[in-house]
Amino acid sequence: MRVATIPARTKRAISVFVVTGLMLAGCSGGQDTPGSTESSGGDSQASSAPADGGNSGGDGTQTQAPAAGEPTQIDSFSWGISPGVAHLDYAQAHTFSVNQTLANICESLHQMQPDLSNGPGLAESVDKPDSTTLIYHVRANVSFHDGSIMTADDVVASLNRQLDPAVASVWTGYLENVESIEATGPLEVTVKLTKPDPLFDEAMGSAAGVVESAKTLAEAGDQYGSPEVGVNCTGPYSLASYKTGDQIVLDRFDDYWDKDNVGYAKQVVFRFFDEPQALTNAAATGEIDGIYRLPLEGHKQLLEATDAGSLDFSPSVNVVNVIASNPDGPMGDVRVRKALMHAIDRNALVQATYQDRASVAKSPAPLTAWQAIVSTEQAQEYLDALDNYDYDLDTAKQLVADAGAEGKTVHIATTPFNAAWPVFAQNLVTALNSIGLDAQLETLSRPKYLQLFADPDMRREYDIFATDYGAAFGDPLSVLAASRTGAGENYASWSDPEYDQALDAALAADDAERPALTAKVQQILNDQLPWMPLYNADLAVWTGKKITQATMSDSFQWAPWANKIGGAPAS
Amino acid sequence: MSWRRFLLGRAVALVGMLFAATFIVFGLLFLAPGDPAVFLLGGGTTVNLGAIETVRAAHGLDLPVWEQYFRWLGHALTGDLGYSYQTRESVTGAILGRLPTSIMLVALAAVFTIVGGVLLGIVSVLVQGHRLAGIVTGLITFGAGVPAFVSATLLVSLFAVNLGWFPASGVGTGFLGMTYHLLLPAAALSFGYVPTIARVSASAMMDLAKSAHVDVAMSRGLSKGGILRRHIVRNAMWPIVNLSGVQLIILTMVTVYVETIFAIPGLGKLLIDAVLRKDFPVVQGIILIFVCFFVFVNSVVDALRPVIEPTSRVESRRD
Repeated sequence: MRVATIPARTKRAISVFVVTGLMLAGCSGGQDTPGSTESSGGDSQASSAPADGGNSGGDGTQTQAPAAGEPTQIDSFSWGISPGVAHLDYAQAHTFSVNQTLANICESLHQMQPDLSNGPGLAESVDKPDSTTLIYHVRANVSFHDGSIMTADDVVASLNRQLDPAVASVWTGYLENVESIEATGPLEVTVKLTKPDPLFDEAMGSAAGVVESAKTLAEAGDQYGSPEVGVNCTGPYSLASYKTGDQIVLDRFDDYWDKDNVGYAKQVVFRFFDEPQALTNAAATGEIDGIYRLPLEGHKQLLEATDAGSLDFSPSVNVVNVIASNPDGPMGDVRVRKALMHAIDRNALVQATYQDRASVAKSPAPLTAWQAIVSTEQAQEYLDALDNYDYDLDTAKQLVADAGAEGKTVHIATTPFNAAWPVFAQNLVTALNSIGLDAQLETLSRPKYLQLFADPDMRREYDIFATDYGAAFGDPLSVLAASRTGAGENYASWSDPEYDQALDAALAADDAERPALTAKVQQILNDQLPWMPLYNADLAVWTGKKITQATMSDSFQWAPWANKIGGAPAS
Repeated sequence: MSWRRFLLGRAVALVGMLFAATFIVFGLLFLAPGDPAVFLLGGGTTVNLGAIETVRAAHGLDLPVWEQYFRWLGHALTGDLGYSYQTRESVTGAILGRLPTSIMLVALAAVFTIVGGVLLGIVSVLVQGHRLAGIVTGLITFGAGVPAFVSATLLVSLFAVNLGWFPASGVGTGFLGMTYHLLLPAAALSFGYVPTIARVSASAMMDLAKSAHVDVAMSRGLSKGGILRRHIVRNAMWPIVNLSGVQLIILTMVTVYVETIFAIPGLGKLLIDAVLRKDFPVVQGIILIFVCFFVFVNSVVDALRPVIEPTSRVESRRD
């Protein structure tokens, strides 16, 4: 059976909603998005920073930490995550909370860099003798946290576990073309694919490529990753204690293989928060030292809390998209989709919510999603070629008239994912009503909203709903593949043979040709709009006065970062 | 009624209530929107239909609801409350990990509520006819109208963020650390309930103040404080204790607001999380704890009645 799986990134994206929604519901839960950074389609991405010193990623490139001087050794620092972590199983790692914690404990075959490209990780190198064979040369003398030494067998067990239906991995979308994964030497793993698929190897820099001790996996069974059993990986920090609903404590792993990157802090505490205001208060009072993806609700307070630390922004890969979920309704007509895009004043929307800390998006894969494979200039050229669907009510009304859709009802599903969502939900209503359609807004509970992502029949009950979606690694194809016919994350139930062919051509192409072919895929999506991109908000990172060198990139979800953070040097 | 009969009756009632409550909650949860298998697979991000079926089968979620319930009941009777779908930890472990925090939070809030309520009640009796009476009545009315999430937000903003006297979040370690961290949340939790106790206390004491035996005491020249202490407050205890039992139960049920705002890992948040994600084993485990607690509190209150109100002993003998 072809399983509709959502690529991890998708999952992540969804997770975002999840997370926030739950918080709003007053409980925990949540999560997050795929990772990466971005800058949006061409508009100034530069997130602004507060006058007093916030840093900004600017033009679509990632920056490393708002730093000043070499970090110092410290006993500990604490990080706020929201919502809390439910488990630490890499196969189910799909929320920002789990991802950013796990990134410091468990490592992958590749190590994602701040620009979202892959560098050497637990695999020193990979050979590609032909288009369907990958040979990973596993690093020698790497210790797991229990002291045992990593071998090819551990890699094989970890990757094969992702393919086990009983594990129900969220990463199977990237592994669906795997024919076999075998140890071909003590430190050599050979992966055979059924057809060329560059996304498999690229995903090995995310949680899809995590290596866990085979012995631990066998012993832990169903309880793997639970607070009671935990994990046993190779990262710069090991799990010291884990109390659900409260906190996770990590100890520095002094036998970490990368001696140049042993952590500065002896201990890192991840504290769980459900409510954005509680998270913000804890930062403002110095009870926590850092936050990734500070919710919008906390921006104003922490931009002003300059005595306590600094709120900085960096481009992110996540884009909020409106999905045309019912092909049989009025939104099934591309003219109506285009009309809606013309009817939303997205610049005003962004100003009303994020000000200059977000920008209007032209594609679900913003500039940042391209940075690992082409130059910023080239990526910008691809994005400039897309239609921006400028705010133009006359054109929008004409399109609705051409489609014969005047007076038709458009059912909108929404949930209060974060403070920006009610604003843009209301914008959708206004836009649709202003062009002669009849908008009906329905606010769903978080659990019900989540069902939309798993239940194609339920999606058809609504004409549009939104998703915050981002790539799990630096390849726009990881996002664009979501709209392939029959893909699990094809929330629009959209099918276009031309699109599928263009996607196949891009995936089969060599590295030199692939970017241009990917741009063609993106062009079709921009013309057909099964997903209507609204905006992409910057990654907001809080660092308290006590620490320095937080990684300013969506790579915080997949590569170790806590080991880079140390005490702020005395000024 | 003998103590043996009393305890036996309560034990039978407890078993009946546990059975009814867990069955009703299980049924309602089953009917609520959302599929636990979907949450298990990543909060709705996975559309791996094969995986969903696998997960449903693994957790028995594909069985009829009554069969799922009795399966759970069978395990529960042997002391096995199962594992959380979400965190994979044992339900017993998840509950025990949070129980000390919840007990401390509710205990502190109960002390604030009862002591604060009775004191405010006494004050309102003492200021009757005075200009201050209006202010006290205003305070009581205002307090009664402030929900816990509002008082929590106000208190954390003032005493934690602005003044820095108390922590804004977390639970601390050790008895003193926990007490210090939970003072503000407990105050926020009790805020809306102090006025209820105050009003009932005041009302009971006012009735007694007009009674004949107080007139007699006054005619004998006893001091105002002595009359208040011996003849009014003591005799007004029963309605106060009775109401306090109810308030204690209510406080236990509404902790989720302050737990969320102060980032406290308590049972209230665990329950709401579990309900929203349809984590049946956790919900059932907490319901068991709550029902036991409610029956215990009610039993203690009932047992205290003959001690506090001697006349009830006479009435029960006449029955």
